[in-house]
Amino acid sequence: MAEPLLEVSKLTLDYNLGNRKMRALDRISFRLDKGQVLGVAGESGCGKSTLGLAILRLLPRVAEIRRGEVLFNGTDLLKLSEEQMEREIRGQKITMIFQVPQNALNPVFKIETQMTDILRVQDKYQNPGSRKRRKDFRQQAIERLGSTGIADPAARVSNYPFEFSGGMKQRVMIGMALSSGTSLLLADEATTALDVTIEAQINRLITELADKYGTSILYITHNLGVLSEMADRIMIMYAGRIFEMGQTQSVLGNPRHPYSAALLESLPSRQTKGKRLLAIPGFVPPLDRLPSGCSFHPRCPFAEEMCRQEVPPLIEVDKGHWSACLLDQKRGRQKWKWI
Amino acid sequence: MKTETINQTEVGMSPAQLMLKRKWTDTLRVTLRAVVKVKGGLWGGIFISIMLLCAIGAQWISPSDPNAQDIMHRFAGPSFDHFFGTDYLGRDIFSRIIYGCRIAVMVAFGAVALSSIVGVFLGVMSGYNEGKKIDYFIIWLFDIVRSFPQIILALAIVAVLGPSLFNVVIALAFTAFPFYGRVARAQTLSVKEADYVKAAEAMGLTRLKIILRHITPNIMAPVIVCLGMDMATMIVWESGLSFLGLGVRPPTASWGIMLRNGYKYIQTSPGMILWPALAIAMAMIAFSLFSEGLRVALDPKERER
Amino acid sequence: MEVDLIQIKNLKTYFFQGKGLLSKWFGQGLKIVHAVDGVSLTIKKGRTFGLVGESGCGKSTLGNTIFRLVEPLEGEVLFQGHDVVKMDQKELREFRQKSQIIFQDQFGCMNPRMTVGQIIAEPLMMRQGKQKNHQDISQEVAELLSAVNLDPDAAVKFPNEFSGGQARRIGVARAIALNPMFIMADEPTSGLDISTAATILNLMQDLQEKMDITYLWVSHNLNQVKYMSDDMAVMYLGKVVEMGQTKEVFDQMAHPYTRALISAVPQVSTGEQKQTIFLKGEIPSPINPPSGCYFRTRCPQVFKRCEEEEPPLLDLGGGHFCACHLHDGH
Repeated sequence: MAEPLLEVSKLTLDYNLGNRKMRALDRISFRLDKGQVLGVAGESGCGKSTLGLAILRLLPRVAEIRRGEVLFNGTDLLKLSEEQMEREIRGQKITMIFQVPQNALNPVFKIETQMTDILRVQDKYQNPGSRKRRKDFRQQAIERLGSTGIADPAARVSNYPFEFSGGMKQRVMIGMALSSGTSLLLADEATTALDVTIEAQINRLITELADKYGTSILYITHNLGVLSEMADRIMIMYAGRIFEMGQTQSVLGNPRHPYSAALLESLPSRQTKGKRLLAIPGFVPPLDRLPSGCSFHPRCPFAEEMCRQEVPPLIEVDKGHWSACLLDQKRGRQKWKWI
Repeated sequence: MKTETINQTEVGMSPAQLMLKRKWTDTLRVTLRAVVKVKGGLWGGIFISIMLLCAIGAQWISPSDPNAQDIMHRFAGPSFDHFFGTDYLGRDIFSRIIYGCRIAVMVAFGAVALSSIVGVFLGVMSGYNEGKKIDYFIIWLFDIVRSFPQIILALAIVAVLGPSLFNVVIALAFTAFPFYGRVARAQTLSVKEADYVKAAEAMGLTRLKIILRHITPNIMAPVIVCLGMDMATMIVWESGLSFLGLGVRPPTASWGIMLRNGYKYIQTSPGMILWPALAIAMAMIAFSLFSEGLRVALDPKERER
Repeated sequence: MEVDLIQIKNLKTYFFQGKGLLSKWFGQGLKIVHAVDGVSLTIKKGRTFGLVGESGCGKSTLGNTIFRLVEPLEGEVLFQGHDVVKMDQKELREFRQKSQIIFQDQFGCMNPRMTVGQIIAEPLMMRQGKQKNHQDISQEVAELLSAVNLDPDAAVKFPNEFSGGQARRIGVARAIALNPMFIMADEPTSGLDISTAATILNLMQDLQEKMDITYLWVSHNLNQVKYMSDDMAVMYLGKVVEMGQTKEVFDQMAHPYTRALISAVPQVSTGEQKQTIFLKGEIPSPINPPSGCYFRTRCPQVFKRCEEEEPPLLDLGGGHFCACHLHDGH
């Protein structure tokens, strides 16, 4: 089997807040191959955003990585120096786009300025001693803008961010994030703040450019519909742990973990009008006071004694399909009917 | 945490009162506790408390009568009888400092209270009625007052009304109210767009109630911080005016007057000018620290969940 | 029998920018934002009316106009036969006791300096006639909190001490405090997780059954609107482009915009991939809407007539309306 582009093993991360220790990631392990799209799904507090930031090592000082490896093309990113991360990884081989593009762009500088700033830095690291000039960078910026489908890029590049709509700003970010040098794109709720028709356009753009450059994507979102359409594989997280992982069709079609099944049954698209939706009872536990054993057991109607005592490991229960449910592992495939 | 504090006051309060009217003493206690948690807020608070104590209880705390002259022992250095020594008329400097607290506190609180109440009221009126005639009128008023250099205005008012504590307060308040007005107006402009104001309007609340209940409490945070800093400034202003002879009248002991008397004798008896100067500086620092603590304490976002 | 609770007739709300001299000399002069541009619709009592559209379509402004938080330029908003636009203060106050809003920003709609108890009690204290006894009122507040499945001792806490879903429920408790006939829910599940959103949807359905409330459900989440609403309207740039019973609108998708909108919604599907219609370009600005049909700049089925003539709302039968020349006989 070819070497994976990204292999995360047993990544464990705590947030140290005063006297509280929140375990934001607990032994996260997964792999991502070249050209693949892996969706990371889950609700608030599950750790999906933290995972993305941890890979690029963009977390604040209070976040402490306790254990684990993040192998990117064989190199452990956690062991690189800050300077190496800056020089080789961030913004070059691994890039990230975020939810609200207006916060990513500085309102007092033109688009051209912001794009060429980044291009200059990339050029400095990738081609040391290069003699590119301002108009070369400007040309590059125009090309990038054009490749994201913005009409009349030569004129648009001189605009200020407030002259761009939300969708267009996200295109700028994508233009900067996806280029021939990008091996991995981390997208954190990239289209959540956009209108539905724009969201469709942007997601299509991301897929097209990623195919063109052979970029793999780690797509973080709580929107299962988007992942159903875009992701090859999908990973469902809960309170810092992975509950289920596998081919998108497998996981969404035959969820093997009660939580995954519950998420699907809570969607309004699954019910007809007038029927109640499934609302999972209880609350997501605070990360510093996780329940013993399976962190979901207090809310799970199928839970048994062993769920309270043993922490379920993530095991491959079917070809390419992993689940962290003891009942599934020990009793075999179940159809989890919540309602 | 706020909840525990509330529960402590449950004794004697019906659940109804609990839910609907948070007693102001309760809010006060919680706020003070939060202020103290901020670095420096504690020290600022302590010093201000000392000042208040001196101001209120000067007659009991002060070892001597501040106006008692003792020509035989003038320019004395620090001694057991006179902690800070005596001035050019043999009066006890320490006692004069303590009585000076009273003047400082009265000016600080008085001028600030007057200017802020008038200023905030006008500012909110103006902001909430943005674009209408009354808004333009109030802004015009602010601009006129602000176009005068503060010191000229203050001096002019005291000169016309005559030097006295009361007139000093009036003069200082008059120079300061547009500042509060501007701050209040700017805050009001943004607060009135908030959803909770829309919710109140949609509920049918009268404009007055909206201003009192929803707008004013939410604009107060920067105003309160200004209050704290302003008090410090007012003390300095009073001393400045008194130094120029246009403040409180002698023989009243105010720090400003002590500076006026003391600077002539700076070589013979530096204590005459040192102690009041120190007092003024300490007061400024204390108010600054306290007002910073107050700002943090009053920010609803900084309350613990 | 279905009774019309609210009838909106040809409502227009415009915003004016740049009225001053400076704009005339240095800027671009007067700009008119056609936020709501001639909307007519009917909301039936006891049912849920869904209002969908993307940014700039005017659905929020329409909501604000119905409650007279913003004054319209022309048109009527008939609530039980009386025109809200022309009501005086007294009638307006009565109207506002019978209709409430649940705001999109679940935290922003609550005064951060008031306790939850005070927030919910506020409408109760404004009730006409009734005695304002603290004891009774706090009893009611406790009941309202229980009705939305919150612990009654939440009343002493401040809004920022709650999670998104809980804050939303406080907003609902305040909205139902006066037993309103009509509630406008503006993006009621925005920012909420899947399971929290499900809780809110269930809650609102329960309340509708118990209290016979009519909902105006404003949302850009089409799956949710399909699930919750009986009737719906699709808005684009201040106009209604399609309107009718939800089931029919979703089945027929008479207007090209409706078709594109519905096809763009990401769906969890394990079968065949759906065919998404990608609209070209961006949503035009409501300041200078295109001539003729507003949608023509992005419509995949545009033809000559669309540029010249604005399509009226055509009756397709059975209460289903569509503003598109494609459905016009000739």
